[in-house]
Amino acid sequence: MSPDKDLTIDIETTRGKWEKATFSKTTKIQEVIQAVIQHFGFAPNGNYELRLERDPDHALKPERPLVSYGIKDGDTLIFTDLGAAVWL
Amino acid sequence: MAVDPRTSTAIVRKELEDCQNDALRNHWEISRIDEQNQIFTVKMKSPIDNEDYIIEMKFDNYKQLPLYVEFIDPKTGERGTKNAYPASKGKFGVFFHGFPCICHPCSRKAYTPGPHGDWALTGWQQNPQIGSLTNIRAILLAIYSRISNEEEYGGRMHA
Repeated sequence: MSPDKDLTIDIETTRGKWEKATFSKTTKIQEVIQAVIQHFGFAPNGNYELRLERDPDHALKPERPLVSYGIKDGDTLIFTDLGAAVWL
Repeated sequence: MAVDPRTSTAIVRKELEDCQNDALRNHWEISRIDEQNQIFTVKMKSPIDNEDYIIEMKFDNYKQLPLYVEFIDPKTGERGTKNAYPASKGKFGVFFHGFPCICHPCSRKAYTPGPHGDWALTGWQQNPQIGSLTNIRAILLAIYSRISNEEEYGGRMHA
Protein backbone atom coordinates (compact mmCIF):
# COMPACT_ATOMS: atom_id res chain seq x y z
CA MET A 1 0.00 0.00 0.00
CA SER A 2 1.27 3.46 -0.93
CA PRO A 3 -0.28 6.41 0.96
CA ASP A 4 0.40 8.66 -2.02
CA LYS A 5 -1.23 6.41 -4.56
CA ASP A 6 -3.84 4.52 -2.58
CA LEU A 7 -7.09 5.24 -0.75
CA THR A 8 -8.49 3.32 2.19
CA ILE A 9 -12.27 3.60 2.35
CA ASP A 10 -15.31 1.85 3.75
CA ILE A 11 -18.01 0.53 1.45
CA GLU A 12 -21.49 -0.06 2.86
CA THR A 13 -23.86 -2.53 1.23
CA THR A 14 -27.04 -4.32 2.20
CA ARG A 15 -24.86 -7.38 2.75
CA GLY A 16 -22.56 -5.69 5.19
CA LYS A 17 -19.72 -3.19 5.35
CA TRP A 18 -16.35 -3.65 3.68
CA GLU A 19 -14.09 -1.84 6.10
CA LYS A 20 -10.70 -0.41 5.17
CA ALA A 21 -10.88 -1.45 1.52
CA THR A 22 -7.80 -0.19 -0.32
CA PHE A 23 -7.79 0.94 -3.93
CA SER A 24 -5.46 2.93 -6.11
CA LYS A 25 -6.66 6.53 -6.38
CA THR A 26 -6.92 6.06 -10.13
CA THR A 27 -9.24 3.06 -9.84
CA LYS A 28 -12.39 3.68 -11.83
CA ILE A 29 -15.76 3.56 -10.10
CA GLN A 30 -16.80 0.64 -12.31
CA GLU A 31 -13.77 -1.30 -11.09
CA VAL A 32 -14.70 -0.60 -7.48
CA ILE A 33 -18.23 -1.83 -8.22
CA GLN A 34 -16.81 -5.03 -9.68
CA ALA A 35 -14.64 -5.50 -6.59
CA VAL A 36 -17.69 -5.09 -4.32
CA ILE A 37 -19.69 -7.57 -6.42
CA GLN A 38 -16.92 -10.12 -5.96
CA HIS A 39 -16.33 -9.34 -2.30
CA PHE A 40 -19.98 -9.82 -1.27
CA GLY A 41 -21.15 -12.21 -3.98
CA PHE A 42 -23.69 -9.94 -5.67
CA ALA A 43 -25.07 -11.20 -8.98
CA PRO A 44 -22.59 -10.35 -11.74
CA ASN A 45 -25.31 -9.35 -14.23
CA GLY A 46 -27.06 -6.77 -12.03
CA ASN A 47 -27.20 -2.97 -12.12
CA TYR A 48 -25.24 -1.27 -9.37
CA GLU A 49 -24.07 2.17 -8.36
CA LEU A 50 -21.89 3.87 -5.77
CA ARG A 51 -22.49 7.12 -3.92
CA LEU A 52 -20.47 9.07 -1.42
CA GLU A 53 -22.14 8.95 1.97
CA ARG A 54 -21.52 12.69 2.38
CA ASP A 55 -23.16 13.40 -1.01
CA PRO A 56 -25.97 10.84 -1.16
CA ASP A 57 -28.00 12.50 -3.92
CA HIS A 58 -25.45 11.91 -6.67
CA ALA A 59 -24.40 8.61 -8.18
CA LEU A 60 -20.72 8.33 -9.06
CA LYS A 61 -20.13 7.89 -12.78
CA PRO A 62 -18.67 4.47 -13.59
CA GLU A 63 -16.02 5.77 -15.97
CA ARG A 64 -14.47 8.27 -13.56
CA PRO A 65 -11.59 7.47 -11.17
CA LEU A 66 -11.97 7.70 -7.40
CA VAL A 67 -9.55 10.62 -7.21
CA SER A 68 -11.71 12.76 -9.50
CA TYR A 69 -14.41 12.93 -6.80
CA GLY A 70 -12.04 14.12 -4.09
CA ILE A 71 -12.57 10.91 -2.15
CA LYS A 72 -10.35 10.81 0.92
CA ASP A 73 -9.06 8.13 3.27
CA GLY A 74 -11.83 7.18 5.67
CA ASP A 75 -14.69 8.14 3.36
CA THR A 76 -17.66 5.80 3.09
CA LEU A 77 -19.24 4.79 -0.20
CA ILE A 78 -22.78 3.43 -0.40
CA PHE A 79 -23.22 0.53 -2.82
CA THR A 80 -26.74 -0.01 -4.14
CA ASP A 81 -28.32 -2.76 -6.21
CA LEU A 82 -30.69 -0.97 -8.60
CA GLY A 83 -32.52 -4.17 -9.47
CA ALA A 84 -31.99 -6.32 -12.50
CA ALA A 85 -33.39 -5.24 -15.84
CA VAL A 86 -36.29 -7.67 -16.21
CA TRP A 87 -38.24 -5.74 -18.85
CA LEU A 88 -36.03 -4.06 -21.43
CA MET B 1 -49.99 -21.56 3.92
CA ALA B 2 -50.68 -18.21 5.55
CA VAL B 3 -47.99 -16.52 7.61
CA ASP B 4 -48.98 -15.46 11.12
CA PRO B 5 -49.42 -11.66 10.94
CA ARG B 6 -47.33 -11.30 14.09
CA THR B 7 -44.45 -13.03 12.33
CA SER B 8 -44.67 -10.78 9.29
CA THR B 9 -44.89 -7.72 11.52
CA ALA B 10 -41.82 -8.74 13.50
CA ILE B 11 -39.82 -9.24 10.30
CA VAL B 12 -40.93 -5.87 8.94
CA ARG B 13 -40.10 -4.14 12.21
CA LYS B 14 -36.57 -5.55 12.12
CA GLU B 15 -36.08 -4.70 8.45
CA LEU B 16 -37.28 -1.13 9.01
CA GLU B 17 -34.78 -0.77 11.85
CA ASP B 18 -32.12 -1.63 9.31
CA CYS B 19 -33.30 1.34 7.20
CA GLN B 20 -32.87 4.03 9.83
CA ASN B 21 -29.49 5.34 8.66
CA ASP B 22 -30.67 5.38 5.05
CA ALA B 23 -33.85 7.19 6.06
CA LEU B 24 -31.83 9.90 7.83
CA ARG B 25 -29.32 10.23 5.01
CA ASN B 26 -31.92 10.36 2.26
CA HIS B 27 -34.73 12.16 4.13
CA TRP B 28 -37.24 9.34 3.92
CA GLU B 29 -40.37 9.56 6.06
CA ILE B 30 -41.31 6.10 7.25
CA SER B 31 -44.78 5.77 8.76
CA ARG B 32 -45.68 3.72 11.78
CA ILE B 33 -46.56 0.13 11.04
CA ASP B 34 -50.30 -0.46 10.65
CA GLU B 35 -50.35 -3.93 12.18
CA GLN B 36 -54.05 -4.51 11.60
CA ASN B 37 -53.89 -3.85 7.87
CA GLN B 38 -50.25 -4.92 7.59
CA ILE B 39 -49.19 -1.78 5.77
CA PHE B 40 -46.61 0.94 6.14
CA THR B 41 -45.66 3.81 3.84
CA VAL B 42 -42.45 5.58 2.96
CA LYS B 43 -42.33 9.09 1.55
CA MET B 44 -39.30 10.12 -0.42
CA LYS B 45 -38.44 13.05 -2.65
CA SER B 46 -36.53 13.05 -5.91
CA PRO B 47 -33.63 15.48 -5.48
CA ILE B 48 -33.71 16.02 -9.25
CA ASP B 49 -37.15 17.65 -9.54
CA ASN B 50 -38.38 17.68 -5.91
CA GLU B 51 -41.33 15.40 -6.76
CA ASP B 52 -42.67 13.51 -3.76
CA TYR B 53 -43.35 9.79 -3.99
CA ILE B 54 -45.34 7.79 -1.47
CA ILE B 55 -44.66 4.08 -1.44
CA GLU B 56 -47.12 1.81 0.28
CA MET B 57 -45.91 -1.63 1.27
CA LYS B 58 -48.42 -4.30 2.22
CA PHE B 59 -46.70 -7.10 4.01
CA ASP B 60 -49.34 -9.76 4.55
CA ASN B 61 -47.72 -13.19 4.33
CA TYR B 62 -44.24 -11.64 4.15
CA LYS B 63 -41.78 -13.25 3.55
CA GLN B 64 -43.53 -16.24 2.11
CA LEU B 65 -44.88 -13.77 -0.44
CA PRO B 66 -43.13 -10.63 -1.66
CA LEU B 67 -44.34 -7.23 -0.55
CA TYR B 68 -47.25 -5.69 -2.45
CA VAL B 69 -45.53 -2.44 -3.41
CA GLU B 70 -47.83 0.35 -4.52
CA PHE B 71 -47.45 4.08 -5.11
CA ILE B 72 -49.92 6.68 -3.87
CA ASP B 73 -50.43 9.98 -5.68
CA PRO B 74 -49.30 12.63 -3.15
CA LYS B 75 -51.75 15.19 -4.53
CA THR B 76 -54.93 13.14 -4.89
CA GLY B 77 -54.32 10.19 -2.57
CA GLU B 78 -55.19 7.78 -5.39
CA ARG B 79 -53.45 4.43 -5.22
CA GLY B 80 -51.85 2.70 -8.16
CA THR B 81 -52.36 5.33 -10.84
CA LYS B 82 -49.63 6.19 -13.32
CA ASN B 83 -49.46 9.67 -11.83
CA ALA B 84 -48.42 8.11 -8.56
CA TYR B 85 -45.37 6.45 -10.10
CA PRO B 86 -41.97 7.66 -11.21
CA ALA B 87 -40.88 6.88 -14.76
CA SER B 88 -37.74 5.15 -15.95
CA LYS B 89 -35.59 6.34 -18.81
CA GLY B 90 -34.64 2.70 -19.23
CA LYS B 91 -30.88 2.92 -18.74
CA PHE B 92 -31.12 0.13 -16.18
CA GLY B 93 -34.25 -1.55 -17.57
CA VAL B 94 -37.87 -0.62 -16.97
CA PHE B 95 -38.12 -0.94 -13.21
CA PHE B 96 -41.12 1.40 -13.08
CA HIS B 97 -43.44 -0.32 -15.53
CA GLY B 98 -46.47 1.36 -17.13
CA PHE B 99 -48.82 -1.34 -15.81
CA PRO B 100 -48.12 0.50 -13.43
CA CYS B 101 -45.96 -1.46 -11.04
CA ILE B 102 -42.43 -2.09 -10.00
CA CYS B 103 -41.43 -4.70 -12.54
CA HIS B 104 -39.23 -6.88 -10.39
CA PRO B 105 -39.66 -10.15 -8.48
CA CYS B 106 -39.59 -8.18 -5.20
CA SER B 107 -42.99 -6.66 -6.09
CA ARG B 108 -46.10 -8.83 -5.80
CA LYS B 109 -48.00 -6.54 -8.16
CA ALA B 110 -45.70 -7.54 -11.02
CA TYR B 111 -46.99 -11.13 -10.90
CA THR B 112 -50.33 -12.31 -12.36
CA PRO B 113 -52.29 -10.31 -13.54
CA GLY B 114 -49.34 -7.95 -13.91
CA PRO B 115 -46.68 -8.09 -16.59
CA HIS B 116 -45.01 -11.22 -15.22
CA GLY B 117 -47.50 -14.05 -15.22
CA ASP B 118 -44.48 -16.22 -15.97
CA TRP B 119 -43.06 -15.73 -12.48
CA ALA B 120 -43.97 -17.95 -9.53
CA LEU B 121 -44.84 -16.33 -6.21
CA THR B 122 -43.76 -19.44 -4.38
CA GLY B 123 -40.03 -19.26 -3.91
CA TRP B 124 -39.88 -15.64 -5.13
CA GLN B 125 -36.54 -15.14 -3.39
CA GLN B 126 -35.05 -17.78 -5.68
CA ASN B 127 -36.18 -16.03 -8.87
CA PRO B 128 -33.00 -15.74 -10.97
CA GLN B 129 -33.69 -12.02 -11.43
CA ILE B 130 -34.17 -11.15 -7.77
CA GLY B 131 -30.58 -10.02 -7.19
CA SER B 132 -30.30 -8.72 -3.63
CA LEU B 133 -33.77 -7.11 -3.46
CA THR B 134 -35.04 -9.57 -0.86
CA ASN B 135 -35.52 -7.12 2.00
CA ILE B 136 -37.12 -3.74 2.61
CA ARG B 137 -33.85 -1.81 2.85
CA ALA B 138 -32.60 -3.08 -0.50
CA ILE B 139 -35.94 -2.32 -2.18
CA LEU B 140 -36.14 1.23 -0.79
CA LEU B 141 -32.54 1.94 -1.74
CA ALA B 142 -33.21 0.72 -5.28
CA ILE B 143 -36.26 2.96 -5.58
CA TYR B 144 -34.45 5.98 -4.15
CA SER B 145 -31.40 5.45 -6.32
CA ARG B 146 -33.57 5.32 -9.41
CA ILE B 147 -35.45 8.53 -8.61
CA SER B 148 -32.22 10.35 -7.82
CA ASN B 149 -30.11 9.18 -10.76
CA GLU B 150 -30.20 11.69 -13.62
CA GLU B 151 -29.44 9.03 -16.22
CA GLU B 152 -32.30 6.82 -15.08
CA TYR B 153 -35.07 9.01 -13.63
CA GLY B 154 -37.64 10.17 -16.15
CA GLY B 155 -39.76 12.37 -13.89
CA ARG B 156 -43.28 11.49 -12.86
CA MET B 157 -45.04 8.86 -14.93
CA HIS B 158 -48.13 10.41 -16.52
CA ALA B 159 -51.28 8.71 -17.70
